[in-house]
Amino acid sequence: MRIGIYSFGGCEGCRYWLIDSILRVCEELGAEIVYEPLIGLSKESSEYDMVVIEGAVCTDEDSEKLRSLRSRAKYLIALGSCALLSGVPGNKRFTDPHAVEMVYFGKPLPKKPIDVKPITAYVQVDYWIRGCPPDRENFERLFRAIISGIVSGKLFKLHERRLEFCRDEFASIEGSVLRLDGDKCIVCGRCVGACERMGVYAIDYAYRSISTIVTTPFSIPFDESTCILCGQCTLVCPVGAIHERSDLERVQRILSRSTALRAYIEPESLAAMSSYFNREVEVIVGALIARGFESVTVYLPEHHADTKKPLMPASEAERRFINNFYPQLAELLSEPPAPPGGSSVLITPCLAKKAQVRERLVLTTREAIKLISSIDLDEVEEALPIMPSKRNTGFREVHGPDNVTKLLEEYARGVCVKEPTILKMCPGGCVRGGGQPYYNEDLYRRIDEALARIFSTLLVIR
Amino acid sequence: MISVPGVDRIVGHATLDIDLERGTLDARFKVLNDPRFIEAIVLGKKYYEVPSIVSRICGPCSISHTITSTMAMEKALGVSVPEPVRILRRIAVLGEVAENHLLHLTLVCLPEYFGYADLIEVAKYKPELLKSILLIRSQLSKIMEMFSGRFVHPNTLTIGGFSKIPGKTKLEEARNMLREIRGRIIEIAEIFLETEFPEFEVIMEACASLRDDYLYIGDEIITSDERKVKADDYRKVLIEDVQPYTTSKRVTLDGLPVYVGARARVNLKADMLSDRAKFYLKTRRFPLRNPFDNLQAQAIELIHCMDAMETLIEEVLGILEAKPIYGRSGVTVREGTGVGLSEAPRGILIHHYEVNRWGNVVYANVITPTTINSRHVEVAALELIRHHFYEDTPATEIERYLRKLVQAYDPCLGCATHSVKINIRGLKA
Repeated sequence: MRIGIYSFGGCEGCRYWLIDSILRVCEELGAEIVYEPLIGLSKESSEYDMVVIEGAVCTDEDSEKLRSLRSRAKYLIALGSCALLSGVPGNKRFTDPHAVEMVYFGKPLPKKPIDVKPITAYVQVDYWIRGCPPDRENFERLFRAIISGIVSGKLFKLHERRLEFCRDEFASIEGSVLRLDGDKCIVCGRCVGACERMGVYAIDYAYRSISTIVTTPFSIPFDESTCILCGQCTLVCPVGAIHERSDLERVQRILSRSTALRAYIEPESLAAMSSYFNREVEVIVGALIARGFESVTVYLPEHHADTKKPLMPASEAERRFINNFYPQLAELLSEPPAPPGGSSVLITPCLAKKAQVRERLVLTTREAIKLISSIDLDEVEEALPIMPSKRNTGFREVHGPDNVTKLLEEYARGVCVKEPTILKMCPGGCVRGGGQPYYNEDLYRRIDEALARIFSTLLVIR
Repeated sequence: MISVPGVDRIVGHATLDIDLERGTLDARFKVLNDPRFIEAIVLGKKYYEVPSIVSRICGPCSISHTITSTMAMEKALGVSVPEPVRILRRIAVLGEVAENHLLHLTLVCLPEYFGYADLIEVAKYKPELLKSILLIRSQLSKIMEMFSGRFVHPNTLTIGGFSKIPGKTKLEEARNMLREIRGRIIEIAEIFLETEFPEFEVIMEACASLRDDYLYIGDEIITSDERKVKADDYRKVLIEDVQPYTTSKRVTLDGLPVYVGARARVNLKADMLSDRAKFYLKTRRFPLRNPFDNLQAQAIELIHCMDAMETLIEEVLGILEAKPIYGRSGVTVREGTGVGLSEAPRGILIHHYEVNRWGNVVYANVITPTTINSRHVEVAALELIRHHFYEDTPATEIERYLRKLVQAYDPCLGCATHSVKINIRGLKA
C-alpha cells in the first residue's frame, strides 16, 4: 500500500491539520506514505496505490499533473472542499476579470491562471472526504475505511455507486387479470397518475426514500382492492411491470391443435391492429384467418347489451366502479355484455372483459398483435370480415371518468332523466381501452382515423 | 474604478535558482504555487464575509488571517471591542504561533537536523520523541478549539468579538493542559537551543516588528534601524513589486530586503519575553544575526507562548471572578478604511480594506510575511555562497546548505520546506 499526498491550489490547511491523523492511521494499517513533501518525503514514485489530492486546479500545469497522477494511481481520493468543489479559489469565476488582473498589477506570471475547477472536472475521482477542513474524527474513520477497503478490494468507486441503491424487497401484487411485478417496477409513478385520473386510487406509493414502492393498500390483491381492471395503468407502464393475464398461450395451443375457432373482433381492435401494422383492414382479417381462425366476425358489444335497466356498463370495469363507489346505484345496473361463448375468441380493446366470464377466451388487441406478428403480411390473402347486420345507435353513450362520474352523481342525487345509457370508463371510449397498444401519440391519431374509416365504409347501417 | 493591488498566499512549491555563471551572483527564489487572487474575490463581498474568505489564504495561519482581517474591518467600521475580547484573541494567536513553531521545528526540521532522511525514520529510531510531539500537538489543538472553535479556519472569531466564549471550567481545563505539556515542550525547545548551526551573517538586515505587545496587534512597525511607521502608512515603507519568475509578490523596505518573523521579534522585543524565555535566550549569543538562528528564536518563542498563554488565561479567569464577560460588541455599517496589523507566526501580517456605505468591500490588500521574506532569502543565499564555499565545493554540499537555509526561514510551512528544488548553474557536478 503506497500512498502519495499531493497539493494543488488551496490553503493546504487540510494536509496541515490532518498530518498526524494520516501518520497514525497509516502506521496502524501498515500503509506506507511515499510522497508527502511536508514531512520530507519529496521523491515522487512512478506508481501509487492511492493518491490523496488537496486543492483545486488553478493552472494548466496543474491539470497536466493531475492527469498524470490519475494514470499512475489505482485510487484517487479528493480531500477537502477545494479538491471536491473548488472551494474559495473557485469564487474567481464570479469576480471582475479586471480586478483579477490588477492583483498582480497587470504583470505576467510564470504560470498562466485558468478558470478554477475542482479536480472532479478533469479526472475520475474514486472517493472523497468533505470539509473545510475535514473534521478530524470523521476523516480518520473514512481514511481508515478507504485504506482497509482498498486492501481487501471491497472499496466501491464513485462511479460504481448506483448499484448500492438496488432495492432488495419487492412487493408483487397478484390479481385475476392484472399483475404488478415489483422487481421490474422502477417507481416512475405513471401508473399511479393514470389510476388517479380514473378516480379509482387503487395503487399508490408506499414507504420512503429508497424503499419507496408502488402498491395497493396493504399490498392486497387487485381484486380485493378498489381496482376496476380498466387497465389504463398497463398503457403507460414503460417497463411492463404492470400487465394483464395473458390468454395467448391457450389460444395458440388450441390453434395448433387445429380445432375450429371463431374470432370475434371489435372495430376498435381492428382499427388499432391495422394502424399498428400500417395495413388495410382486409390484410389484418386475412392474417387472422391465415393464423388458423375459421372465421372473423366484427363484434359490436351494443348488440349484446342487456337493456333491462337504465345503466348499461360496457364491461366489467363500469360494474366494478359502480359497485365500489356508488353502491346505491347497483340496482339500476344491467349486466355487461358477455363475450361470445362456444369455441370462439373475442379480440377486444377492453381489459376488463377478461374478468367477466373466466372460461371464455378473451385476447386484448396487444395479444392479438403478438399472435399475428410472426405472419408475413405481404403474403397474406386479403379477406373481408363477417359484418353484423345493423349498427344499433339508439342509446345515449357516456365515456371518460369525468363524464361517467358526473352522470352517476346526478343519478345518485336523482336530478336527471333515467334514460338508458351506455357507460364507458376509459377516457375517449373503447378506442382508448386498456388492452390497446402501448401509448404513442402518432399511433393513437392513426387509430382514430382508421376507426372512422371502418365506421364509414364497412359498418354502414344496412 | 476599483484598483486591486495585493498579494496572495505562497504556501506550496518553490524553487531557489542560483546563477554562478555571470559576473555577479544572482539568486532567484521562485514561488511556484498557484495564484488564487483572494483580494479580487473579496471585492464586492459584504464586510462580514471577508474574515472567513481570507482565512482560506493559508490553513496553518488561518487564525492570524481571520483576526487581522477582523481588526481591519473593526477599524473601518469604527467598532471597539471589550478588553476581554482582546485578551482572548491574544490567547488564540499565541496558541497558533506555538502550534506552527512546534510543527515546523519537529515534523519538518527535526529529521534533517539530526541526520534522518525523513519523519518515518524518526518514528523508527526515536518513537518516544515522535509520540510526545503528536501528543503535544493534539493537546494544543484541543486548547485552540476552546478559543477559536477550530484550529484551521476558526469559526468563533467574528467582527466585534467572539460568537462563543469559553467558560470558567473550560479555561481551567485549558490551563491545566498547558501545565501538563509545558515540560515536554521545553524538552523539545532545548534540543534546538543546544544545536549549532552553520555560522554566517547577512550584512543587509532590517527587522520589522510591532510595538505594544510581544505578539498580536500593534499599530506601529518598528525596524532595527530605528524607524517607526504607523500602520496606516505601511505603503510608505513596504514596497510591493511583481517579478516575472515568481507567483509571489516581493515586498521590500524602501528597496532593502527585510526580514520578519521569530528572529526579528526576538531581536527587537527581547525585553517583552517571559522570564523563562529570557533565561533560555541568555544561552545564545544576542542579537541573533545568523538566519539559521531563526530556529532558536522559534524555540524561545515556543517557551514564551506557553508562559504567556497561561498568564493571559489567569487574567481572563480574574475578570470572570468579578463579572461575566460579554464577548461581542454591535456593528453598524459605515463607510471607512481600516488597516489591520498583527504578528502572525512568521512575521508581520497586514490586511487593508475599504468598505463603502452599504458594507461592501471596494478595496483589499494583504501583505503576508513570506512575501516580505522572499527577497531576504535570495540575499542570504548569495551571502552564504560568497562567504562559505569555494569553487571546488561539491554542488551537493552547497545544495544541502541552501535547502537548510530556506527551511530556516520557514516560508509559510508547506511552502519551501522540503519541496525546494535547488538549481545551480555554472558548477561542475
